[in-house]
Amino acid sequence: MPGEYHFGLNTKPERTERIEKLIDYVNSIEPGICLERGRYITQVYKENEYESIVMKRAKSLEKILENMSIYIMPGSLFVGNQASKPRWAPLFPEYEVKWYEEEIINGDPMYPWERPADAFQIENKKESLKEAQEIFNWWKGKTHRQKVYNNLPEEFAIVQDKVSVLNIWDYIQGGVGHFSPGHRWLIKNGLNTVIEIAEEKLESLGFSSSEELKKREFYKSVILSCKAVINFARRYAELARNMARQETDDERRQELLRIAETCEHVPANPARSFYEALQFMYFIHLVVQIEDSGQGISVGRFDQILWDYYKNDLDNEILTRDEALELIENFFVMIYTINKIKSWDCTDYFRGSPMFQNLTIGGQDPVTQDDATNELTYLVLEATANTRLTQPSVTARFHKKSPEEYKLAVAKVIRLGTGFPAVFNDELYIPALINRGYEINDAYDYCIIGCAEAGPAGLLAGRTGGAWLNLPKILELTLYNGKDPLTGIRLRKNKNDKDLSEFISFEELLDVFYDQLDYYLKMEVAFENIIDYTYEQGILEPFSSIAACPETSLERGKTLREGGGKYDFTGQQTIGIANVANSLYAIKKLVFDDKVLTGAQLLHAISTDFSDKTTDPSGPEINKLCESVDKYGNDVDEVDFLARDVLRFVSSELPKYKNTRYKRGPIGCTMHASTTTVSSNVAFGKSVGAMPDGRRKGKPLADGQSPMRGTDVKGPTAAVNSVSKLNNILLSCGSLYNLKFNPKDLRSGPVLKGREELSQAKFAE
Amino acid sequence: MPKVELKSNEETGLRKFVGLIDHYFANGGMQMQFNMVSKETLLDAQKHPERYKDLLVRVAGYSAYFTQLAKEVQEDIIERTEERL
Repeated sequence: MPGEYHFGLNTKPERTERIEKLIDYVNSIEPGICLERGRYITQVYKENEYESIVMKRAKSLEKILENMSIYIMPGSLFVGNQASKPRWAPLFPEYEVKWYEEEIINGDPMYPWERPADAFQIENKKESLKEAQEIFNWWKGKTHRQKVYNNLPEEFAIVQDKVSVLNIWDYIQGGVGHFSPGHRWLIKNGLNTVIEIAEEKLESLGFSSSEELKKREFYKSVILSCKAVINFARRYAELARNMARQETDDERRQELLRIAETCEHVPANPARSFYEALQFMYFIHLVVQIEDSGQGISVGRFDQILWDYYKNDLDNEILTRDEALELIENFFVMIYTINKIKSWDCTDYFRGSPMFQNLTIGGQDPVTQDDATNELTYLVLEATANTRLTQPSVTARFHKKSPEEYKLAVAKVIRLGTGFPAVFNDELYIPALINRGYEINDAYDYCIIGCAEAGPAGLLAGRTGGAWLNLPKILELTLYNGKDPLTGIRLRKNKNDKDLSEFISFEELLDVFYDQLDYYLKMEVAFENIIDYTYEQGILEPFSSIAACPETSLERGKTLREGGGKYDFTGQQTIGIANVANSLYAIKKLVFDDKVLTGAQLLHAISTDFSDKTTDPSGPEINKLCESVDKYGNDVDEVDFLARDVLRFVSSELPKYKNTRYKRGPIGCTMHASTTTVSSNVAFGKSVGAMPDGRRKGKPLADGQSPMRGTDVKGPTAAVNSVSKLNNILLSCGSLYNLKFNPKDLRSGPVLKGREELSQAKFAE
Repeated sequence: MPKVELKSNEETGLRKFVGLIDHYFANGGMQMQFNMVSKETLLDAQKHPERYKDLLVRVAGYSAYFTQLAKEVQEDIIERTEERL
């Protein structure tokens, strides 16, 4: 049987009855679209047209949290729901209604419920569609997307929408997200403290400058939002009490009463126990995702934030290790219920409904710099092995002094094949952050946000995500003297007005390629700033601001978009470095060094997708020649150094550019690079023709900074040697390298036996 | 503190695997994420999705249920080099 050596498939996850039922319950529900948020925000915007942006947002949050359906999942010890059902997606019409209308109303290119993958149902179709149409009608011309396009020069739109040099649709159609809330500060202080601080600030402010008046609006909106969140928790308390009254099972009744007491206490007040701290965190984590459509809201350093609560409860004998494990698993299921819908176009870049709710374990203490693993670290690993869900996205920090048993425990969970945890190297991430201006303690306290982006929770604003940059497309344009072979659009000629058939040396090619790359990098920066400028014109969020950066945003009276963070950077994602290095090297070898082909022959071959059999050598023969040249990922310096140099150019150029918060408070305020991918390598691949690396037209590009799939053939040590030659330390926004192993090599015996393996998956004594 | 105890016959595989991460990180590597699945399993899952509804894979920066992914993303993962330890 093919799954024979798969560790996950061959072992039954160890779950309590509660967790098993909860997971079955959530998985029994097909994702769908929930109109409630869309309904209430539209009402508020209609009735408050002349309010400030922050007050509109606060009033919307209040209305939504007061009126949306709430429920408590069967057996769940935690509460909080984003939409009317688990994994249903709310509507965010303030960002974009064009695709909503095209797809949900008109079924163009298809209805969300008819999608072959990533489908979303809709209930009571007739009435729902009527209401949806009314919502969309009101927002036409008023959305974030519309405003971005109003601010966007025409050639920028062509570069994205027609030629696919870059893609930033996610931030045109939706919100920013991508931060890790300051849970540590919030849990310790409670939202009542936030309200008190805001009230004091309000009291001390005058009315004499526009700056003061603006700050007054901010503090008022913070107070309103925090009160709305406290009342939201009270709605759950009331619901739990009502359910308790009708509950016949004694144990469940007690649980419901405990939920009620907890929700009456947090998030208004500081958490007093591990259980309250988790419920507190979940409320914050959830509400910022109701306020805004952004993804990548990350939990932060779970084992560090909660350690004192856990230890205290254990010492006071009000919690056992097993109870804590079940609570963590229940918390994971809650995170898994959060979902968003994207347009079918944008879904191409985000296959499989990722929400990027990262959760970090391990690493070092920010002050002592000692290893920080503790028993909670291991509980998270166990919970990951037991739940095996797509969320949260668990991340393990490694450093020079990480204990061997921790690394082995992480490896054992990785072996299950869930893709979790991903491992991150402190020895690179920390200096990469310090290089961008982070204070040492903050750099040591980084967590992973979204896919692979690093930053300290509670201190980082900006956005760790941005445009995807299609590097192979830029090389392709260079080979055709600036003309896109797919659409025929010529965006910008090479500076020497030559194409591949005319270059006289490899150095000449490199020179014009870097010139084109520089041009598109500048355009990307402008794109990013136009989008942030547009957010500032329409979407400023009080609650997300105090959640993401409680101390600085409250002190300065500013939202994140206006400079409310301690640190602020704009990230991006650079895609296909392997294809660029391999293509450049193939041209160097075949055309300039070995002179096996002329530039004209190679250009003809790629422009005909290696299929012209009338030439000598024929297209297929040239394809073979291209494939035979050494590839990045095999520890061959010549080609690996090309990858290194091109990526270094991108990652050292971007930080030279400022973002829209420069000189407005935060440290940093520049662009910086990452190689995170999501599924953009597949989407971008569709718009890139055949390339000199031998890749055929339309095929997926390489993901992240991984070698091109199937071309790293000299074993994993050679592959990792190649990838480690890149100047990774410059990737302060994040590094992404994917490796696939045959699990056979990690097995414990000749054949896996279900229960036996399972007992090995446990880490407890 | 919890202890991880390895059976002697699984020492090799897991330790080699951890050794590879250590090697990468000692040489300037920054981040790694993994799939632990054979090509045969993935091909079989394409053929019989109903048998593999719990099969998770790492796409790039996140995990997803393999059978819920679009065909071309599935292919991308299938074609990735299957490294041997």
